Amino acid sequence: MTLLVFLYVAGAVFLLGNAVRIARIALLPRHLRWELYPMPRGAAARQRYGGSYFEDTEWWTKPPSSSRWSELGYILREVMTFATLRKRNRPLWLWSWLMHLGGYGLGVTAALLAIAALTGNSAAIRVCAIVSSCAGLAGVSGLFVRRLRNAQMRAGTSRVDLFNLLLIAAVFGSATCVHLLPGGTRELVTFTRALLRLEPVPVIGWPAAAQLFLLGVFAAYFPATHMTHAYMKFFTYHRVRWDDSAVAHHPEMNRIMRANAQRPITWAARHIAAGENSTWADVVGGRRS
Amino acid sequence: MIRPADLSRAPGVLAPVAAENLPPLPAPIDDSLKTPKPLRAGVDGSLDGFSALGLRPPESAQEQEALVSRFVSGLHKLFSADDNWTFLQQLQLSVDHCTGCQSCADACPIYQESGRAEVYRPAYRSEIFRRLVREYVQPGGSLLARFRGEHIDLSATAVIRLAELAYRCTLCRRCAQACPIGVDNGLIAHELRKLFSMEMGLAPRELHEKGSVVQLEVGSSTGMNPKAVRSNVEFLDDEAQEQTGFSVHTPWDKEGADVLLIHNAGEILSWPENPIAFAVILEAAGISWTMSSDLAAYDSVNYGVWYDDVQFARVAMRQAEAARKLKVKKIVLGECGHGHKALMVVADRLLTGDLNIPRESALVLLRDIVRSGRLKLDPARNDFPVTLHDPCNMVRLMGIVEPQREILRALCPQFREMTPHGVDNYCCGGGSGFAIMSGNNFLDWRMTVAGRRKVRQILDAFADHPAPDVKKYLCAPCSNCKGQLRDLIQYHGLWERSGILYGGLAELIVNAMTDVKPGFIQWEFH
Repeated sequence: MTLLVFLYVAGAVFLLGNAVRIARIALLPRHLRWELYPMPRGAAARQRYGGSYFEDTEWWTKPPSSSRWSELGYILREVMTFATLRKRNRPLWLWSWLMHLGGYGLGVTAALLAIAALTGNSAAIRVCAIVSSCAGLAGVSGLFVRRLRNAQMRAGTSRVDLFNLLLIAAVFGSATCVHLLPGGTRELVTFTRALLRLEPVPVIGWPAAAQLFLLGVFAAYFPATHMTHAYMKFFTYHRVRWDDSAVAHHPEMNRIMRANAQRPITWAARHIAAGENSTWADVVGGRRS
Repeated sequence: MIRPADLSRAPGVLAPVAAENLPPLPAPIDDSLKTPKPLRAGVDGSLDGFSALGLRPPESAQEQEALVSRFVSGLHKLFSADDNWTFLQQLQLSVDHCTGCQSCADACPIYQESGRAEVYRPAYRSEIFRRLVREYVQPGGSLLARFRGEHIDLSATAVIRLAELAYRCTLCRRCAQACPIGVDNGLIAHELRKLFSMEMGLAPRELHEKGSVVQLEVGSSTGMNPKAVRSNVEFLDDEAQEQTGFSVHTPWDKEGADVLLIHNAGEILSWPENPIAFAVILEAAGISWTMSSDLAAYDSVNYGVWYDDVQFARVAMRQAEAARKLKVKKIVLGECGHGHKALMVVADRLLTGDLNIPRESALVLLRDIVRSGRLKLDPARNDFPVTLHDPCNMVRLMGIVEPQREILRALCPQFREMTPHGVDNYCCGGGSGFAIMSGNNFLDWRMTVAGRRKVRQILDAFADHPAPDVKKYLCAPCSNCKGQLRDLIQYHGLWERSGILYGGLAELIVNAMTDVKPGFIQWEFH
């Protein structure tokens, strides 16, 4: 029962925590442009060399190009193959890729557990879980060793980074154990049923309990870490790196920017010349309030 | 290995640049680090022995405390939606999501060419910033910092070193390109510079006092007022007639012109052949154009884009207001990389309503003119080795890659690319204002460390003709880059040893024009 309550709380913390993280970023003011090339936008030839609409004669007279499929393709390629990491940091790539692949696999395992809990069909759970967690464990181990042995990485590695890797290793390790042991997978299926249907909690062995507990800890901890890059990449890419939206194409930005110009400014350097109730518009335009 | 917490380690120089660690440059250069100029007495060089800011450490405990306190105050403001609406979302994302994979390290030419000096590793600066933010801005930070083993003793020494460290990055953003997550170490350096300038009034004199302040008060960062610039350009018109045989009269403040051309005013003084070339091309092509004599509108520079949002916005507004007043159809930015990025990209959302005059790159206009056939051009006049330096601001940061190449392929039979090039280019080492920063001993640093990769690239591009008897043209369509390349060529003797001359793109077009006297490009180093 305690474990069940803990998992409900951990799940709620996971959902709420991530929602708060997303809201905090999403609600920040619309910023100035800071894009970077290449970006998956425009004609294929242009994408290959990293060109932009600025290469077009009188670009403002042409409609902006829509490249949803290119962007989606880029993201899928990144998510599945970690192409940028492979290109830029090959020695690290394999371990990171395996770890993330393991994570994806455990996600699929969780979905299969839910399906099994509701329909009784438990095919493939065990294989999926074992392959995923072994891959994940291999990846984490490689990353751990690399962080400690590579001087460059070691210099930038903190206690938290090592703790994160240990926690992830514990999740993968406990998953491997529970699914290897006879009856372990079945216990997880029955526990998942209880979780989803709010039924009386079955008695489960300590390996399954440990796996669930560690998953709960990880879920509750996740929103407080940089592991949220998993979804924050939407913002780093779509809202910053690929945000080449010009006012000429999006005049609705005029209203947003005019509102930003009315924000108070308190920077203290003399040349800013911000008075007590100055706004950005006052200071930039030279007027004083 | 130097750790982030070592930032406050005193006394002495934290990370002196060791000549023996710098990867050797190829022949014919046989020297690496000349003995740097000693710093003036009292100027702080405790980061790496060099100084970009010329700061003097505060002496009394009270002054030291005040310095630290102002820094912390600025740190808070960087995370205020009001004080930093301009870049807060980008900053928060970069602060929160670095995993420390170090994929950015190998992308950074400064880090690589310093012999992998830890303080120049892109994530080193960012990690210090991140830890300070967590400790001093986030609630409960000071307790958690020690628990996490991330405490940095924020002394006056640490603050001054961090100010200097913010000026050891050219903001080329190769590191951001390399990051699979989208973290931007260049942005963090940019935000640090803003903190120092906008809260503490600390910035390199060349960028602020003698840069953006002069531009706003006098009209140009060069110190040319409107009367002086008109007089200088009038002189250039006469020079154009003499050099090319082509009659040119630069129009000023012509209302209703199609194009308001804004040069980096430094061209007028240091590289007059470039504005002369533009005037000849535009007149020959029958373009309706004008320049503006309004303050700041005849100088496309906007140094604030590197270090101060308010100075940046002030200059951008002035430039746009001049265009609005003249009712031009579009502003065309001359050969200045950061001028392009500042007005066309970063300032785009600042220019609301009728201030949002369309803005175009001169590279596009020049390409269109060359394509149109309105000029009679003979590529045989440019039959010498030519390579292209890609200015970071235009190429990686704006995606303007092909127009200049189309021109070079059409007009320069011996054009060859550097490796890498395009959006993968390396910075000249003069980016983010470095090209005009020579005070204290900063020149030595930017010549031997910041510009080292570019020297290597230039020599490699001309490896088939290394001797000085074959004159070679390094095309750099950006004023700041030209300033840095000039200094690199001079410092490393590349004109005498290798016959390498640098210049803009417009000059190559005029040099190929059969309607003008041959030999527009004069093979004399200046």
